[in-house]
Amino acid sequence: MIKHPGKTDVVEIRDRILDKGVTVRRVRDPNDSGAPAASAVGAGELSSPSERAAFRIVQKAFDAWNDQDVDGCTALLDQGYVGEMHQTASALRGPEDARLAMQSIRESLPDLRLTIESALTVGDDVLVSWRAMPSEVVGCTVTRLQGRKIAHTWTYAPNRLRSKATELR
Amino acid sequence: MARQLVIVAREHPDLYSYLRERFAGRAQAEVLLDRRVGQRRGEHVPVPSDRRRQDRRARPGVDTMLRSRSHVIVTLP
Repeated sequence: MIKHPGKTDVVEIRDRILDKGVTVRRVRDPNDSGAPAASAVGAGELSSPSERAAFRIVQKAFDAWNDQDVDGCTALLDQGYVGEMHQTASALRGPEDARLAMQSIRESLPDLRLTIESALTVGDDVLVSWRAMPSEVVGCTVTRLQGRKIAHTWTYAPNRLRSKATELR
Repeated sequence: MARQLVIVAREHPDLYSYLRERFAGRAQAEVLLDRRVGQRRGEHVPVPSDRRRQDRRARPGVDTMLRSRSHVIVTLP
């Protein structure tokens, strides 16, 4: 059952709130002419130590991916890891399943890099908005942590990237 | 404690549904669907007296970002 907060009218809420000075959680390298910087969002933007710790684990996974370190990425996964992708029926189950998928994607898309553009941490859930280079495709991943391991991911990506990733499974 | 908003573009209802359920009951974060259509002040029709002192959209960046991506994360003061 979804609980609906009292205010749901985004027009009213956003207009009201934006007048007070909302910070858009999106950081770019000031020295960069346009291309997003790697791991552009720092953990320092998150308020509590637990939020920062949770974000760092997810950030490590992105960094390992960008370093083509499939083992490093797999090591962050819980034994019961489940990886889901929007509108994709099959899920990755377990670190080994994820490792094979990552290897396939890396072999097919060796230049693929993911830049974190913004992040939000609530409890054990971390929402990360990312940009895939060089395609410039943007998407997001919601990660659930269990202890200091990644137990579940749900990825939302536009059709182009999703089709490529699923056909590689 | 700062609150966070995830504003999801209207073209991505599946993302909105998922995030809404995922973050349900979490006081620190709220997921909203952007239902706004276009710029209401787009037409420059001369009027004798405009009672609106300023454009309330003080952060047009959010609108711009939502045109090119599925969602935007913002932090409330």
